[in-house]
Amino acid sequence: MPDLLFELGAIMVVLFLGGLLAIRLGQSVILAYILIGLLLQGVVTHGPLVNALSTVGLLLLFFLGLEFSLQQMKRFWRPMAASGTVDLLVNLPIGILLGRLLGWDWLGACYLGGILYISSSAVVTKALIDTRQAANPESDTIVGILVFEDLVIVLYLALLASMTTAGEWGSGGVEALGWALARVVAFGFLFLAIPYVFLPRLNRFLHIEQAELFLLFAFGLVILYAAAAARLGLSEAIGAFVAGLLLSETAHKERLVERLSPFRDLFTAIFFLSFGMTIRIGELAEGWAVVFLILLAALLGKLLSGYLAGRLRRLSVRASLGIGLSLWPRGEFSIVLAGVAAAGLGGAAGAHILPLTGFLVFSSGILGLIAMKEFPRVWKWWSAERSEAADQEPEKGKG
Amino acid sequence: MRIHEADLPGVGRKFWLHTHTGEKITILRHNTGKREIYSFLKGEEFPSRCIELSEEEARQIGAVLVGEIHPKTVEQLDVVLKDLIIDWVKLEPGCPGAGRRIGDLQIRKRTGVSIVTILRGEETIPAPGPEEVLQVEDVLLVVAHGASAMKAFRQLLKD
Repeated sequence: MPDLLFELGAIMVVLFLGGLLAIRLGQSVILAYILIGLLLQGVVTHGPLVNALSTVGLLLLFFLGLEFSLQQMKRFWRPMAASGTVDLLVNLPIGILLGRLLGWDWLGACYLGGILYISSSAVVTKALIDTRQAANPESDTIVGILVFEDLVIVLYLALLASMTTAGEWGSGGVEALGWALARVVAFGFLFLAIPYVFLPRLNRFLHIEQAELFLLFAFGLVILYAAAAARLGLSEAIGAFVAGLLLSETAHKERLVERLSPFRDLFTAIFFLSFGMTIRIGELAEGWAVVFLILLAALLGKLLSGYLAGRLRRLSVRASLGIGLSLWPRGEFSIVLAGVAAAGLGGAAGAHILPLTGFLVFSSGILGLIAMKEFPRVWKWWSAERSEAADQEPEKGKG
Repeated sequence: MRIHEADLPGVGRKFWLHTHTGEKITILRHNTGKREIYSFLKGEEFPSRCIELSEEEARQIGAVLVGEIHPKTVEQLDVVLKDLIIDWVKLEPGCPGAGRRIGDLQIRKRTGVSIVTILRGEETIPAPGPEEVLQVEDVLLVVAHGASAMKAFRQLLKD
C-alpha cells in the first residue's frame, strides 16, 4: 500500500514537472504527458490501476458534449458546413487509402482514416489563444472546422465501434453496417431523445443544494452512460459525450463545468499518461519509412484542405494556409479511436495502430505548434522577398 | 460602418471593425473574462499590436470611449473635463423642481449651471428655453463649472 501511494504521488509530480517543462518550451502539456507515459513504461508497477484511473479521462468527452449546444449548432451549421465538408472529404479518404495500402482490412483502414482526419480541439484551441492568433481572420473557420470534426467523429466512432463488435466487415457487409447504424440510433433514442422529453423534470431534479451530492449524481450519470454505450458496443467515449450533450440543455451547465473541470484536468493528464504507457514503440522498428510517410500525408492533407476551405470562404492565401497549419495537431480523439481499434481489431492493424497513433499525435502536435508560431514570421519574410523580386524585375526590363 | 462578430467555441467571441482610416480593430472577449484588443494596419493580416485587458479595465476603457453614458444604465455619472462637469440628473417623483418653469427656478443665475438638453420619454428637447416646464421622469443633461455648482443645482431642485 505505501508503495502504491509513493508511486501515484511520484507519477503526479513527474507529470507536473513535465507539464512545466512543456509550457516553458511553448509546447502542449498533453505531449509531455504522453512522453512521460512512454518513458515510464518499465518503471510503473501499478499499470492496471493507472489504466483504470485513465478511464475517468472520459470526462474529456463529457465536456465536449457539454460545450455543444443546440442553439449554437443552429447558428454555426450554415457557415461551417462547407469548410467542414471539404476538410472531411480530403482527410478521411487519405487515411483509409493509406490503411488499405498497408494491407489492413477495411475496418482497420477506416479507423486510420478517422485518426488522420480528426484534429485536436484541445491542442488547437489552446494554441490559438496562446499564440494570439484567435483574432486573425481565419480563426472562426479553424474553430468551426474543429466543431464540425468533433460532431462527425462522434458519429463515426460510434459506427466503427459498433461494426467492430459486430464482427468483420467482410463477413457482415451491408448487414453489419445496418446493425451498427441501428444500435447507434437506438442509443441516441433511448439515452438522448427520451430523456430530452423529460428535460424540465431533470432540470428540477438537478437542483441539488449540497455540492457533494450534486457531484455524485453527475459523476454517476456520466459513468453509467459510458457503461451503457460500452454494453451496446459503441465505446464508452460515445456514452460520455451523449451525457454531456443531454446535460448541456439543462440549466445546470455552468455548475457542472465549474464542479467537474478540476476532475477533468486531473484525469485527462492520467489519460494521456496511460496512452503513452501502452505505446509499444518497438512495433514500428521495421517501418519507420512508412510511419514518416503517414505523418507527411497527415500534414499535407490538412494543408490542402485548410487551403481549399479558406479560399472557399474568400480568405487570403496566407489565412488559408494558416488554417491548414493550425489543424495539424491530432490528439484526444485520435487516441480514443486507436484505443477502440487496438482493443477490437486483430492482425496488423490491431498491433500497429497504437504506436502509429502515438507517433502521429506526438509529431503532429510538436510540428503544428512550431508551425503556428513561426508561420507569421516566415510568411512576412517570404512576402518581403517576393515583393523585392517584383521590384527588381522592371529594372531588369529597362536594362 | 459595421461591427462584425463571430463565435469561437472554446475561446470566446470575436468582434471586428474597419475604421475610417482603413485600419482594422479586432476585439476578443474570452470565455475567461479576459479581453484582448488587436490592431491591424491597413492591408495587414498580422496584428501590429495586442493589448490585454481584465474585465474591469475593459469596462473602464469602454466608458471612456463612449464619452457619454446612457442615463438608463447609469443614474448619475460625472464626466469631468478640467473643472467642467457634464452630468445626467433625473427628476424623481416628488422632486419639488418638477412642474416649474426653468425661468422661475432661476437656475443659471443662482447656480451657474446650464441645462443642455432634456430627455422626456422618447422626445429630446435641445437647449430648452426659460418657459420650458420640468416634469417628473425628465432626464436633464447639465453642464456645470465645478463640483460645488453641481451640488448647488441638485439642492435647488430639491428645495
